[in-house]
Amino acid sequence: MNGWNHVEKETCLLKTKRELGLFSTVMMGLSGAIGFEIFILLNYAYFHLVGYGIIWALLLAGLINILIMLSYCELGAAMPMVGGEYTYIKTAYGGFVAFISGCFRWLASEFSAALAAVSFTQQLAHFFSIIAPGTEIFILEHAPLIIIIVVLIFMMSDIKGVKQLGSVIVIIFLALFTVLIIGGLLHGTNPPGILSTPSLESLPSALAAVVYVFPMFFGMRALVARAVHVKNPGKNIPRGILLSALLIIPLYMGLAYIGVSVVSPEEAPSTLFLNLAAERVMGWMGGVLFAFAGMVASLSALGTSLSVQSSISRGMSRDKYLPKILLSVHRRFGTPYVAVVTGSVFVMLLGSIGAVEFLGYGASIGSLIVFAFVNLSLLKLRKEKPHMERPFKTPFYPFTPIAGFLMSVVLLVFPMFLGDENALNALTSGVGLTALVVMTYYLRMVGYHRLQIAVGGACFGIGILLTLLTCLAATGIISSIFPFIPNPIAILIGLISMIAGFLNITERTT
Amino acid sequence: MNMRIRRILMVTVGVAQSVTALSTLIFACVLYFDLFNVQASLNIPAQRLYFYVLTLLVFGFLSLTSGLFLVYEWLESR
Repeated sequence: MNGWNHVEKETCLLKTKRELGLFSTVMMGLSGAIGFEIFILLNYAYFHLVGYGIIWALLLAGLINILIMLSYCELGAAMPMVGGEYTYIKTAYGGFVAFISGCFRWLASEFSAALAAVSFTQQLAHFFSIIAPGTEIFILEHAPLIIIIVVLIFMMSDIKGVKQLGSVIVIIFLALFTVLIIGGLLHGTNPPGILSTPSLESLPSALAAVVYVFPMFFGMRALVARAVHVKNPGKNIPRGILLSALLIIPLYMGLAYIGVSVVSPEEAPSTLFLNLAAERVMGWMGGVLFAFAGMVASLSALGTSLSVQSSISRGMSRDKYLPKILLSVHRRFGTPYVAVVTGSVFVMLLGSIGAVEFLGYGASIGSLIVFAFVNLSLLKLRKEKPHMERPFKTPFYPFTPIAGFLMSVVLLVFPMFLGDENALNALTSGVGLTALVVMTYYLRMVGYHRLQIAVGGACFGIGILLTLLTCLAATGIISSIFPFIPNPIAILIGLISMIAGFLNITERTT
Repeated sequence: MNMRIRRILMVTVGVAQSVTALSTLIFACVLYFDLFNVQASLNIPAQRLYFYVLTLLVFGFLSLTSGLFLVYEWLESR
């Protein structure tokens, strides 16, 4: 007997066609993993954190990723349903934990989308710095505006339901990266010092770099979100995840090897590491090609992240954790336009900040919290639902999920001890967001109508107070509290608040 | 109250309150970051700045929630 409800399973699988074989599944995993991150995240890690040790950091990040993905393999094969990790955690823990993890998964997607938008402007500036030197300054100065325009375009295309070109982009990237690696090897690269044994002193920086570059790997989990389309999921999902996870390590290490061979860590840290490496190996054409590839990758990732965030918010709305308005579907295009617009607004705000390092850590931290919960879910489901059908079992249980959980926690808190300001800012924001999420959950539990009455009462009271104080100030009895707000406007705001408060209070009693 | 009038009031007041709330929030940010040299133009003393910003933020968020509640109710009643 399966550990989860058959009715739920049938509902989730209803009207979906399982059409993706192993090749398509691996491509799907790779398209999730190979993205704009490699074009942007290596810069800070290489120039500021770990230097030549970047290769070891990538290897470590790849191995930790495999450790965590083993839990995804087991759960993805056992529950090939819509919702991915959110569904696993909900099955294991239910309500509160699922809500928290869903929120963090959503936030991670938002940070990734914002990072992709920032990455696009950087690649655009780099592209123009090669073909029309001087114009990049104009692009960088107007980056927030470009980001808002790009997100708006993607928001419109998401609402219209334009499909992504994931697999095609992956094949182009694989070809491009292979050309760079082979070109670099033929170029006669001889990187200094990268094969020396990593010292204990460099370990903190290396771990910070692991946290920072981790988003380059874990994108393959997007595969489980589309598990419902995979043929023979019991076999193809674990194979797809593990093959993608294994293939990505030598690819990234190869690129980093070529990169560190031709770009010194002492060079200008504002440059784009991979683009510079491509320019040195393949000439100006390499720079143009990689800048173009970076732009395409950023736009593709932006589209994917916007879709993922809307899928998560709809899933949570379906489970009544978020307002059901997020489930609204556009009459003409049949797409979840409310969820897309809501997420896009957050992406525009985050993207306008433009702080790449902060966004990079933010995306990583959000995901690491979810990974910790996924590993815990596996442990709980093995214990409580031992007879659940499991086509794939994580090897060395329970050590693997425990190690996966511990590594997630270590990577989560480690940059804090290192004192990296960007990591600290992201973690502080994470704590603040957690408080906000928990508060939202409890407000939700208070009940919509009680909350509406409470807010209505507060507004009604504020309206009366504001009108009264303004009238007293106008007659000269007291001095004005907000002298910069003209009295007629203050009275108008007070009246609006009063009427709104009254309407909110009496909404359910009429 | 007549339902039709109530519905018109809900959407009118809801939208007006939401717009007011958003303007308040934007104004709070402008004030805090002193964009367009607004602190000097409005003669706002530095010691009262945080009081103003905090009050505007609290009022803004509360009004936005209230306004959105009304708009949402109106959408549901359509």
